[in-house]
Amino acid sequence: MTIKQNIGRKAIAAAVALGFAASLIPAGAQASNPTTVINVGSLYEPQNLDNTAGGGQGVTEALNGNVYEGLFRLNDDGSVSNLLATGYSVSSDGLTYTFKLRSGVKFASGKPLTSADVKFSIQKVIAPASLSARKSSFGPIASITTPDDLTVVIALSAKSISLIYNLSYVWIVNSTATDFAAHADGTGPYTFTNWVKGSTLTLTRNPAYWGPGAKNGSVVFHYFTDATALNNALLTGAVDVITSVQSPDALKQFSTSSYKINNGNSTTKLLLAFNDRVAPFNNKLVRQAVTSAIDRKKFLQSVWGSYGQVTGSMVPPKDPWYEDLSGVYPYNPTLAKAELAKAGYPKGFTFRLDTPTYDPHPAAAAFIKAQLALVGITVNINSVTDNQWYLNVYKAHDFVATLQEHVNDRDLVWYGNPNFYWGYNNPAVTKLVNLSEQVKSARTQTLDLKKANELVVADAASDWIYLYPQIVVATSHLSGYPLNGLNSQFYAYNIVKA
Amino acid sequence: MVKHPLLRYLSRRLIILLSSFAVALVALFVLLRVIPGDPAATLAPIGATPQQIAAARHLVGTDQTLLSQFIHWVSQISTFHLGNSLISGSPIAPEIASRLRITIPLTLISFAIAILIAVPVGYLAAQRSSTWYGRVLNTISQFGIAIPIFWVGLIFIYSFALRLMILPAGGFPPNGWSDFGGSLKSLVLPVATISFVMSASLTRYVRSATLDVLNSEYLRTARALGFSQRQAIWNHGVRNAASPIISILGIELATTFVGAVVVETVFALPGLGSMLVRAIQESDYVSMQGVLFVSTLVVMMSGFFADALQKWVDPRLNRFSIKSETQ
Repeated sequence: MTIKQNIGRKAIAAAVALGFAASLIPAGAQASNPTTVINVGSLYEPQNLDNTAGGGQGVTEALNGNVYEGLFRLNDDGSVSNLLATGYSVSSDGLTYTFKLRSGVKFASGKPLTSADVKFSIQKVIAPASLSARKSSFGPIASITTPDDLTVVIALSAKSISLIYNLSYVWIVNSTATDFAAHADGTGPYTFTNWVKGSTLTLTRNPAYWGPGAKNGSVVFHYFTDATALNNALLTGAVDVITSVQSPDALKQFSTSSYKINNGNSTTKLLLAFNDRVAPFNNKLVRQAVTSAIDRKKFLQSVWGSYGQVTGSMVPPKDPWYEDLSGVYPYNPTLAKAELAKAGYPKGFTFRLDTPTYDPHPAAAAFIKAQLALVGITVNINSVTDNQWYLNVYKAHDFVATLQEHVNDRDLVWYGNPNFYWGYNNPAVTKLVNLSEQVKSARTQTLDLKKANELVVADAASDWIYLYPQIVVATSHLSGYPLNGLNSQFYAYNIVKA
Repeated sequence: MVKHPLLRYLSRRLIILLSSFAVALVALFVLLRVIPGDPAATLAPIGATPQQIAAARHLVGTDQTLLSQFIHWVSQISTFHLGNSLISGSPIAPEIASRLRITIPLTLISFAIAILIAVPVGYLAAQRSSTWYGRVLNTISQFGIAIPIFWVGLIFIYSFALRLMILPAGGFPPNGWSDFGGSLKSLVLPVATISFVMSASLTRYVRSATLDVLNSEYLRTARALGFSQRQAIWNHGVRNAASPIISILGIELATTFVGAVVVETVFALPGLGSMLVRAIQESDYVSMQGVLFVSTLVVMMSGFFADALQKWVDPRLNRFSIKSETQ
């Protein structure tokens, strides 16, 4: 179990993560064609079709915005726009939100959308049996009432500036439906047609859709477990677009006019996470020394070539509170040695680095080991499976340092939780993170979290090695596909073929 | 009391088969439980509360004792239900059935083609063992045994899918066998891959069995009695050579079925093998158990049928066993 799986693949993680509304390659002048089939290649097959029952990243990729819709939609710039809600009002104390629903909307099954469905859907996310981590972000919800069929009122016990944003993650499902894990009945531009496990998931254009409607006739997600097989599928024309490329080497084969390589915005960070509770990493100087001793730019270059970015913090450029902090700890082994001596480790020390077995972690571990050896630190690389990582590192906190991918955006807030696996505990940061949710304006929230991020970086709470690139490759005759955030959603309705 | 010696042998063999199967069930269950990992961990979100973890455990049934989990599983097997996937929550028997619709044709077609290639080539390699082309055939089969199956698959993909672009690189049609042409096309390269590797090893067995027969005294005696070489081989050699080959075929069939996991991954086929890989990745014990249960069944059954066929083909085995049973 990895953070990647928990946060990204399962799409049920970070309570306050910003979604990836699709930024779209403009569909240009190409006409929509309701008979076109769009074949999408993906490595993320859903585990089931219910995003509150561990459906995984794959179910979000396939169904979010395509089959299921929320009250609000997340856009690529992080803004939120109305979708099934036509608008909302907030009481002066910020504790009561009243939402108006779009009229005339029907589920694929023909049942009209009512406020009861909205109430049911939110309750489904916050129910005790829900496996959605989004659940905790709805903690302030005190009650949900439905004065009429097109009005929903949510009363809060505490202010929550991210409520609208968080609601964009809640799929509005048919409250009379059953077996959400195997069937999907949404209000979106596609209807769920079938899912052949291990192979394909097919969506068909919904002719009764309330909006402008999909520009293509159907979308078939083809699932692969092997990245080479996925690339081959694009090379042979079996799929039109692949939602993630796993290494820059694979891009060479697409460097022809037949394909378009898109370098979108990512929010996935590779972290060297220290256990800030235990020696030697409970000492800020040691963490700073280790961060200064690792040449992050060199490593990114060796793994991703010219792709990706060193951000120097947990915050990716798409988060509103982003600032470039990559210069805070420039590569400086001499300074690192001095800091180690000052911290009481003039001859360095030895520590165990728990390393997930899949790429790029083993390579990162080897690189870190070599770099830290230059300042006298010995790294014992300990390979761990997903489950070992989850149980020993994440749950039991039985580790000294670990490597891990963190997929979601707006996940800086984990540094405000002293019980999180890395055990970072700075009351000032915790206070800022908590306050940022209570404020009245997004601007204040941004300022608070920017300040929190600066404190976290000053403490070198972790070493944020680099931000992954987000690479989508498609055949050149395809347009209208989303560029960003494919690890959580893939709006397919604007895709057209030339 | 079964009188016919062959039937008596088979009924004894059936009892052994069933007991082995019972032992295999226990071993399967226990081994899967000692693997580190918690399927509830796969389902639970990051930041999960203890209540959420407990809910996940309850959902997947790992909060029950091992004994009650085992009894539950065995009672499910007896009705061929096989349980619900811990991850998707849906029953796995229909999924296994749907995936067998790919793995079984893949295995059987590959197997049949491998036999069609290996028997004549192996025979020829033996009969002409001292000539240059006998040696060439032998070398080719050695080569086939030496290269890993995934590599053969990649070479085929590179040649026929990426370069010549005449066959798909992988995948299976979304509507399955109802797109018969598309399905067959999807299976061409995987079948070619398995057949190539399997025929290479079978050729060696056929060659060796044929050489044994060709050098045997009874064949020389038959020739001395005036039979032509062809008559001697047909009347006396084939059955003798067939016996060890059948026994190898039983093992090879089982190996191919189980080994389809590699080919299915390389060619992105939604067969039983890829289901197993996914179940392992997700610590989905129930799916793993289901797939391994079916695989165990296939391996044991193919061994059983190979034994029966061998008995039927080679009457000497019958005599020996009758003798040993009456002693």
